[in-house]
Amino acid sequence: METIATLRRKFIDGSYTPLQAVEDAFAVIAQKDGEIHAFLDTYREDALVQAKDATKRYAEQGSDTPPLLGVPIALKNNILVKGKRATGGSKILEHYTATYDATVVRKLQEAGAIIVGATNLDEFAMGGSTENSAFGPTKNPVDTTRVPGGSSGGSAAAVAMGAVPAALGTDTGGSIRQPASYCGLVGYKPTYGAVSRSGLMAMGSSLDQAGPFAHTVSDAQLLHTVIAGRDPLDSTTIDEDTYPEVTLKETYTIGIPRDFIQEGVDEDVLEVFEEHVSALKAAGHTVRDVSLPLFEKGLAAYYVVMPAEVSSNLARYDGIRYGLSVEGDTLLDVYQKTRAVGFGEEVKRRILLGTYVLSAGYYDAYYGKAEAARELMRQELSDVFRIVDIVLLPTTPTPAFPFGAQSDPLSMYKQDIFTVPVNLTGVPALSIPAGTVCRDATNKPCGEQSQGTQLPVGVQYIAPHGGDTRLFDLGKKMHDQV
Amino acid sequence: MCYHADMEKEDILHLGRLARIEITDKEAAALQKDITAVLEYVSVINEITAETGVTKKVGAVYNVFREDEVTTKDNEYTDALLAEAPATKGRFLEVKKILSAD
Repeated sequence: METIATLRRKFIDGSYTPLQAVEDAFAVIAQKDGEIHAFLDTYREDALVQAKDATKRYAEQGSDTPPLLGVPIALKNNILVKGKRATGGSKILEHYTATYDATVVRKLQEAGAIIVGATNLDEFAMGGSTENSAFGPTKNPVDTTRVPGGSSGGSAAAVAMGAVPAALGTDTGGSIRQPASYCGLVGYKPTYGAVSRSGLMAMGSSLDQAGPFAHTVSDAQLLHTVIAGRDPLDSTTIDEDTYPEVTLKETYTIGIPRDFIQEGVDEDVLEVFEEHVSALKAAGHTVRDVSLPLFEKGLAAYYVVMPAEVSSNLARYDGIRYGLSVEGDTLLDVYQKTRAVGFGEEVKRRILLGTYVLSAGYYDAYYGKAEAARELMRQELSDVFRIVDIVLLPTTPTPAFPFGAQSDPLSMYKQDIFTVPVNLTGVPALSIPAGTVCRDATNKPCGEQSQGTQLPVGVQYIAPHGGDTRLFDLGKKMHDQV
Repeated sequence: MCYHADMEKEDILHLGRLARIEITDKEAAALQKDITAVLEYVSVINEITAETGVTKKVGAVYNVFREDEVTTKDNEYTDALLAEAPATKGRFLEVKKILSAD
């Protein structure tokens, strides 16, 4: 599938129509999704009705139409669309139908986008591979023996397999940027509060943001611009003047926390990273080392704050108001049985961990400390942004891994080491494809003799709060225009 | 204070009761191992803040108010919401009794 910008141009000049685009989207889904399993549900009938209408509007009004009119979009299935199933990738919501639209959905629809389907995810967005989905994993379209990343793996795969030009995901600790990196896409996590969380299934409320997957930075920017903005339904949304203005420049000073990437990063991934550093210098940007020692400890703070918020947020799934309900003798029995049957292993693990760190006697030692650590990280980062415009990191320490390769929870968690500090501090970050690394069938680097697959790897730009436009600016210079 | 005491099986079952999740013996064994490992990993947050004593909240923190008024129409969402409930009686959710007879 082509970019949104190309589709829009063709829709306006009439060389391609929204009806053709939607038919083509469903042709790709029919052909590939049996194997890939990016989608949990598709909305063919609704989409065709909207596509016919959009085709007519282009014929009559041309460019005087909303910016996403007729553009097929996929949504991670923790984003509510009124009247459609919203599973969150969980058995507990297998038969739940959303009773209202998320604000991001309303905005996409007002801009004319056609929602073609709901994509797979790790249960309640907890995981980095989609292996935790109650409805089976999604495969990486680049190499189907490997995970697409997660938790927004279905959205990434839907774009990477060519079904849609763009999709929305949510990012609590890297769940947009990591799958974007694994699938060779642009992925974007906005400044906390830039996008309304109304109608997203809450995971870690102080961390969650919705954002786009796309092939180009300008497509991602367009989608972000459509969905962003102050929302009375989410009091944590920010205004344009909440943070000081972050200016655009011809060339930027880019900081690299060298100590942070010293250990634990795959050698080939590091090589791609260094090539990107060279490309930045060649394009006239200034690169210098910075120090962010607390960022290295971010993952520890994350695995206190996030489970704490998860345990509170998921208390609502109780078998009484909506979703699965398992019979029991007493009310307590209904709660305990429903949640035992409805939640998967990883979700239970995080709820219990969160319950522990919030329990009497441990709250100050864990949650209090972790929140204090966040504040110190924010101060440390803000000091670094006095001397650099952008911080550069690899998006992930490795390329996409084979199914089952990260069976130990902690090793799975460590895939997020470079992405979680961004959510903890609330700043925006953009992952762009930076190159590929070769892996053979045994997941070893390709030797001179062995054949293998080229796996995409991303790098991540991080800007100060409210610096979303700066990220798009550098992203377009380094990705779209090369 | 000890930040990563090994979890006992009874601790896990207790957390399960607090979180309203029935935990089987087999699950308890796996959770005991995993949660102990994660708690040990996260204990480094103690080193971060040990010297500074910072307790402030992150980010732009300020109150957001609105008028205290009803913003929806009567019954606007009632049918749709009740349709999602596992058990209803008229316009009410039906729940099990809270206490058993004995």
